[in-house]
Amino acid sequence: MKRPRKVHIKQSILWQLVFVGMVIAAASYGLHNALVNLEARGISRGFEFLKVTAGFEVVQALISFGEGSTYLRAFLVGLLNTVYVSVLAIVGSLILGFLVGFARFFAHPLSRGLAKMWIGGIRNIPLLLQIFFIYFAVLQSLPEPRDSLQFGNLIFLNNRGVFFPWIVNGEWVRPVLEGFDFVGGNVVIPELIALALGLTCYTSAFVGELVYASLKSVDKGLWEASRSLGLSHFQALRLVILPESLKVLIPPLTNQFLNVFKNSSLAAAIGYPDLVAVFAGTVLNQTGQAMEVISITMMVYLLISLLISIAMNYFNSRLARVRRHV
Amino acid sequence: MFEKTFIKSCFGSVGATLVSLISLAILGVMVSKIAQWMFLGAVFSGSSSEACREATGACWVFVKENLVFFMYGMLEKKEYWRAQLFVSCAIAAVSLLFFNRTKTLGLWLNFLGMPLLAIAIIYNIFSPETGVDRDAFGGLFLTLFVAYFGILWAFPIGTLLALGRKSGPVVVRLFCIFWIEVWRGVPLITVLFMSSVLVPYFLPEGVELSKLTRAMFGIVCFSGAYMAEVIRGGLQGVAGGQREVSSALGLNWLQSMRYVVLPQAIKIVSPAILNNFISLFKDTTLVAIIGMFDFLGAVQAATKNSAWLGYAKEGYVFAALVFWIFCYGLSKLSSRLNPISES
Repeated sequence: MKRPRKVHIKQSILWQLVFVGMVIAAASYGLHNALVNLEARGISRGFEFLKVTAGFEVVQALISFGEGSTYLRAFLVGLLNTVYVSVLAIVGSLILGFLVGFARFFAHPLSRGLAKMWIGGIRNIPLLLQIFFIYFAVLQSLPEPRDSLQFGNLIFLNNRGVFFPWIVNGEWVRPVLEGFDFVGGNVVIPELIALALGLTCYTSAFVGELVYASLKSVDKGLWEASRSLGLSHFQALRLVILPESLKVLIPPLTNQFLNVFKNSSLAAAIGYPDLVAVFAGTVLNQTGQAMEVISITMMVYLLISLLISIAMNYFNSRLARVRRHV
Repeated sequence: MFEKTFIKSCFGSVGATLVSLISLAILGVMVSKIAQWMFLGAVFSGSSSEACREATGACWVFVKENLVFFMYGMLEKKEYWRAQLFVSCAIAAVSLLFFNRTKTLGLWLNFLGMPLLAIAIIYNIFSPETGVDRDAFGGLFLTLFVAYFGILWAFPIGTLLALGRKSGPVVVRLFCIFWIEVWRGVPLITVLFMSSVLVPYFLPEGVELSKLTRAMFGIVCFSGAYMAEVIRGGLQGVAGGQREVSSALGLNWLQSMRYVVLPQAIKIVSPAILNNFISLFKDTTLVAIIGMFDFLGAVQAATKNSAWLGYAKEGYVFAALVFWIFCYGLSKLSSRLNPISES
């Protein structure tokens, strides 16, 4: 016996109301507790703290950040550093990943073996471990500034980073050793090197596997067709196979970019001043406003993840549209 | 025959020869360096860093002397049995899941028995006077503990979320989408920060959760959301007719999901589920950042010990090998389960 449809819908609405009620009850219970606890510990609420002077220093800031800067400014510094290292790692992992993917694809046993080793080795070791290794075991064991490794008296490599000449007021300025540290020129801090390098290596293994799979997914007939049209091996790859494989490659590649962006938060472990380290670390410790700080941090990550997805979807749909006309 | 094609593909043309030479150079340098560092110049015997003073390679004494710390963390020697008992029981309970006849028993043990066991011997609720410090548990045991519960609970939570997102009523569907996308959109580190800093605020006064429990809460939420998306992929892969056939046979929605659709869905995505396990296993290392001494955290702490300064490389290489063995084993298992590679 089937029940009349109306009763069914009414029942369904009732259950949904019960569900909503339960969610609201749980949320408001938690919120009530939070308010009571915050009151008891004397922690202030609201976003006023963003205007307060931060009074700490950051080792790497892409925009000026001094003693008088506010917490809002600190947030921006962290966010920019996150974006900076993510972009570096994405570009690096694309280059290295394509190299690995092609090496794995070619009918050359040695290059294939090396690429397989790279992918199988890197993918199965936690990223945090790789970053720790580069930072603590390699970069920290470099010599002190006074015993730097030198490259033509211009570039200096030591345990405080890479120092190199840079334009200041329209003039090239060379880094010079003064006391225990270098002055002048520009520096790449070891935290940035470790994080960018770790992210690049780790992601390149995944990108390499994706590139290989996408090249392999292209129909063999296309190779034969383009060769019989008189294209050379390289031309066939560049003009036919690669564009065709991009269709398969782009969507999973988007996920890798998103992963790089999210994984850049491991910065907190080695002290690279990214969004998590500066904002959810230092600012949180100084202000104690955990609720506001952590929800802002999470929202920013959500928002940027969303933006990357939208951008890549747009790129992908354009690629698909172009294809239809051909 | 094989040798001929091998030589031809390696040295058949100028380009191929060039690639061969570069690859051989890389391989040669790598093998000789690794052999020299890991074995030839390495020190294996001794009991303090004195033994490694003359070493030109690795100092494996560091790993040997700290091995117990890497395995159990700060746990006292007389309490090792707790960790050992728990891990053996977990292995037994998990292996029960792989046989059809013991599956039900396995489910009960994993979801009810093991949490009780954890409460009894790790949290030590029943005999607090014996005074085992629950924060002393660490090392590889902690990694396995966190990974075990994280992976296990991801299953029911992920299944519920996937079903809710796929075929729940509007409100439930919206809730599931929101829940899944929020956890998937943020890095695990912020989830762990949230669960270690923020969760205590939401609890009523007087209720306190240990650091471990809070970290587990974050990890389960996180892994549940990822699992939900994997299982949803499987649900989409099951032909729509299956559901109709089962309702024609008189099964209600719950029964058709339980007996017909879900088993097929999970079978389709079993390689993806295992890959999910691997990433979760690697991700558990992040608890080191919120100050817990998991395997990586213990290695990290040991390299900072003033009696053993300068042996970071050995520690990390050892940790990398251990993780590699676990993850590579799991990934081999997942490619064996892959239906595409079978055919």
